Amino acid sequence: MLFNSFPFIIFFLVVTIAYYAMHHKWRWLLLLLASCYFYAFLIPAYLLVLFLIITIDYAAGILIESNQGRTRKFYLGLSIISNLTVLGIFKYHNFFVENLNHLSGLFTSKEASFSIWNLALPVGLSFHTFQAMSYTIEVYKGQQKAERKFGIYGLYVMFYPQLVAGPIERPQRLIPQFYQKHQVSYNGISSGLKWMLWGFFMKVVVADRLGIYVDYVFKNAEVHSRLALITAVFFYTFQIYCDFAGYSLIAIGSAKVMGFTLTKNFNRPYLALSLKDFWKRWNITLSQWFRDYVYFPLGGSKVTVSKYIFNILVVFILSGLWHGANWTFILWGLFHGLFIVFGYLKRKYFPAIIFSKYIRIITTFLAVSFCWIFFRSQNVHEAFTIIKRIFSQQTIHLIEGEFEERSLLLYSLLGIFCIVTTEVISEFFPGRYQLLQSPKLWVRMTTCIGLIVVILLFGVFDGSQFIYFQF
Amino acid sequence: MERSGFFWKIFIVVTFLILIDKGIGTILQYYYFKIHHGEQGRTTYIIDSCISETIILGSSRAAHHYVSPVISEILHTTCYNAGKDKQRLRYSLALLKMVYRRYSPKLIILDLNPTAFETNENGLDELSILLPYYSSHPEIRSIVNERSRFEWIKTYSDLYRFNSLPLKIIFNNISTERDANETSGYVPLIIHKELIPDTPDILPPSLPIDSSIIKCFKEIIYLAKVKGSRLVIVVSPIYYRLPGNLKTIEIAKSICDKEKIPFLNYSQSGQFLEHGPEMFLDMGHLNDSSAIAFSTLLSNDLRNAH
Repeated sequence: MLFNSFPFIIFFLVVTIAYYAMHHKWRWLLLLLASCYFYAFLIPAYLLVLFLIITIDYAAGILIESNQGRTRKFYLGLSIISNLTVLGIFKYHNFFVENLNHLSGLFTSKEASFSIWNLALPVGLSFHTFQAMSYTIEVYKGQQKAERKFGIYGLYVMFYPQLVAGPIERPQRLIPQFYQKHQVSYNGISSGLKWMLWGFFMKVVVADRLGIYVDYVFKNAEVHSRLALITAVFFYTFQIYCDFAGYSLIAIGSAKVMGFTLTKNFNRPYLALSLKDFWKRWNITLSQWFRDYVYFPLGGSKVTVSKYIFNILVVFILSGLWHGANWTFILWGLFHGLFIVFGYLKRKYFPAIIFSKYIRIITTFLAVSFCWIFFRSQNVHEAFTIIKRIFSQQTIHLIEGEFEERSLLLYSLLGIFCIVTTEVISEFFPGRYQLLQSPKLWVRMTTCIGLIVVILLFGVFDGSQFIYFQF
Repeated sequence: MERSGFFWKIFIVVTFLILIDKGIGTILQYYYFKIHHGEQGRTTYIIDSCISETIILGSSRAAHHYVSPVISEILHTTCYNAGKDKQRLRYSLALLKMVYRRYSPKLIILDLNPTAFETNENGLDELSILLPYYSSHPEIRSIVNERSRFEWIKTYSDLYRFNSLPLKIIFNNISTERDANETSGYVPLIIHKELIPDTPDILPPSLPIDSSIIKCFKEIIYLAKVKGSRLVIVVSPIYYRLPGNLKTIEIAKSICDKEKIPFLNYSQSGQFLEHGPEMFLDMGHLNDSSAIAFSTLLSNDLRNAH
């Protein structure tokens, strides 16, 4: 089920009302069934994949806790390998086979013909496998007790607000909340609804509107001008942010309405001072996952320069691969890693060179936008075609056509203006001019009404998916 | 926050929302129907004012391939091109239903896209263009409601019915373009939007057939028969090599044969394809001068057949 769909509004209302009407003892069951329905709305058969992951990790958690020494490590390894195998089958098999076939053609006269599988990727698979893995790792580390109730553990993996695109929660934070008795808190409901409203605005008014122009240009990148391509790249920079952050806000808001607190996943990433800072603000829960479970075990930053560079590049290439089975994502991760290494070397060997805050924000923004070209392109060739045309093409027209297309650009720019203004105010004037959190009731209510009017009038209701669902 | 306070605030927000929705909706509706040019003007004109004896229906290929003045001159008739970019058969059916509420055109030329019956990956989003007419033209409600299961609920909101239109309404109300009734509806294509290969490619593999679109096609035929209009189905030239057994063409032809409706297929006409890309603006569309040539060819064929 998509957050930006009418069925979700009905689903959300029904589940929330039923949740508060039901006795605390049975609420977990309601949420579990609702989450199954939410997921089954997309491809019902893939509930089985989720069930498999849940069963393996539930059993692994108990076995890890009840054993000692190397046996614990064995069960942890088994759990991780099982999760990665599921991920590998659905997400990476075809990529691996295609590359193997191609590679074999370089050394022999004929390409090998290992067959690819016609399997659709279960929505949000990378998110829930990572969340499941964090459970067994935390149990292994002794930070979390193994959950004995299968239903509660199932709900930890399947909790519908964050099931398909995060935030990737840690068990210590989420599981105890399923045991807490949540009383009706009108402040909590009000605040959750406001988060949802702003999330809807970001998704349907800004992201989906920008997506129309981005799709139009990227579909035929080879015929568009430099200006059109640059505009599309910047639009995509904002599109993916508003799409993903919008989803996260709806997730956090809908959980908040029921009394649950999910981890904040974005913190004004485009105002980051460096790429390193960017990753502390963008998809925060994923960054923390890689930091805690990959980067730190590799040695982190307390190693030699060459080992540090190696660690950074490994983490970011893996992060790229996590996003998708395509060389474009690997290059996207690699470029992020290289930019971070570049920043590290600059700080280490040229500490005297210090740029102003604003220059750092702008250069970071440009570097991130550049990397998004790889992320958005269908293949590496397309990405380099766009980059080549940006630096060589001369014509300047943005788009042809009548008002329909010109108004599209205007709506897009207005959307970006709203987002940038809000982010800048929150960053540089914290606590001031917060319309949705204003102490004055009429300001809060007017803002809510205004946002709903803007969503109805300027939202794109084509039922488009969230970009991160594909991961 | 007290429970009663919470629900009181919800009540105030909902009340103001309804008032604003109706207020802004009424203003937008008033100015929308004041537009007499551009895409909106063309649509409103064909629905509410056009009395041409011949009308052209279809998608962008209809809008850009049928030069109505040429057809008017050769067939000695009045002709209006009601083709519309990004629209498919459901739109044509809705348009026809609204037109028939006022009058019956003598001749209807329906341009059929060679893939018209295939499943559309964009669903029925294109029909949002009919939302402004939803309340005033009840005959199209069943078609618009096909967009989604909850469309009938959404259309209670006036703002929703004018979604994405405010800027167009403002621009078109201050624009000085010629009114739709002063043009013939034909929209010449001038600017290249994609690269065209030297020889036409084979049309990409077809998608599954959508039986609901075939139903629309049959309904158009039925309506035309009942209302006494002469209907001609035309497949205009396309810069692709079409396989001989293309499902849409096969199905449409068999329906037309059964219903005794003329089916004219120019999709692979050598007069256009053999000249290479110079006659086309993109893979799916003729350029302006080729559209004139095609309209002449079609009109002569229609005149001779008649």
